Amino acid sequence: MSRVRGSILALISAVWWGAPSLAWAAGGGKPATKLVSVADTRSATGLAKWVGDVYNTDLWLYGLVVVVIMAGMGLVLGLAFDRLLVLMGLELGKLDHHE
Amino acid sequence: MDAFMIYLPIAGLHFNVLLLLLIGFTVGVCGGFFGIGGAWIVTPALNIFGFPMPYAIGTDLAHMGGKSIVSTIRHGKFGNVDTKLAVSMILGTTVGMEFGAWLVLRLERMGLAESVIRKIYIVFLAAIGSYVLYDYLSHVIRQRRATTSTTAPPPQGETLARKLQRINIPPMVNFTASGIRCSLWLPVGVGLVTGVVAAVLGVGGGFIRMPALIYLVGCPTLVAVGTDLFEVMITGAYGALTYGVKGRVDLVAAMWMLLGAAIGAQMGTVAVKYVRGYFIRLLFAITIFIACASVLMKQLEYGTASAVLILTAGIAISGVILGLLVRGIAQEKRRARFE
Repeated sequence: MSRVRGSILALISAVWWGAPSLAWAAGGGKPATKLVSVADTRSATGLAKWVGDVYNTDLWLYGLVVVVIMAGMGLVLGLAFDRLLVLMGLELGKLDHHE
Repeated sequence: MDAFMIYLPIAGLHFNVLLLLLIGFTVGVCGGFFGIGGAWIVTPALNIFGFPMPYAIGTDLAHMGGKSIVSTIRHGKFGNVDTKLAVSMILGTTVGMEFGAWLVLRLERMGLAESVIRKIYIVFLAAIGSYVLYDYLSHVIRQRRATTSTTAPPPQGETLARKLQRINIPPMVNFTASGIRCSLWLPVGVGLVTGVVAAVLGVGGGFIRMPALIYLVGCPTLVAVGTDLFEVMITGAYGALTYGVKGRVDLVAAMWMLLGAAIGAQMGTVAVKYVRGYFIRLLFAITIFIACASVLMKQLEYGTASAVLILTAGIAISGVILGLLVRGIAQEKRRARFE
């Protein structure tokens, strides 16, 4: 009886200790850590290097920088080109909505 | 050409800066003229020249936000932006996009997303293009009859937009810039529907909203263009943030593209001054048919040919728009000299 109990215990211990290794070997186990995207700034200089460094530091900061720069550039370029058109002497008042 | 090659650290590739300026300029002209974001030109164009797809989408969205600011400023000064209408639509669009995203996940779980969505997309583009073209042709025939006939032309039947505007569900709102009065729920509902369609099809939605604003809400064409650009500006900024946080925006590329797009957007926007609303609709219908052909080619697995078609067509259409602009300015100058 004690031999049977011993065998069962041995089997349970084998499964207990062996199963994770088997699962691991079968491709299971702990999930891999999240992949991290890194900008390669080794050959970058100036603006590209700064952008790459911000990207590597914090993606939330990078996201905000993207929005601020795009909005800022849009605003500055929009107003600058608008001024340029006025200087060209084009009539740029309100339009009639004729179809 | 090596002198124009720049290193893009996020996408991890060397890219010709002139090409970025050209893509930006082309989409800027089309965007300013039609009131669309132009993702259907930029994303395949960047992809075909080596950008991985997620970076192509993210970079496009980022520059789209900035470019739309340029166009919205000018359209605003022309009196083409109905801010109240745009804000009402944004409410509906946001909810609609969330619902659309949920619908896509359901389709994905059923294993239908890819094939079903692309087929719906083709049918949808063909339907919009056909309707806009039909509307243009009917208008031309009506105009011709009016000029040749001695009697008064038959009145145009009541449009769908007029019927929808008459639905009296409070609150009724005056949209001054558009010159319409309707229930607040009309633009919210239209925003909701276009939001669902845009999310399901995986596009920004400019080319759906622009005709929806004309045919469902009843806006004049120029106000539809300007108001749609206001919305594109908001969705572009939101897209730039979400894709930026996920690290899928190449800011250096987006900045160069925005530089080209800002010049193009200004020209495309000013070009609307020299054409009639119906002519914008005609060019829009042609553009939609080309986009439809490109998606069809992609469905038939001619990916590169599809991207080449869309880029070439984009350049050709912006060429036509620039031609209209130059002709308009020349006429204006001539008129000014005589007066």
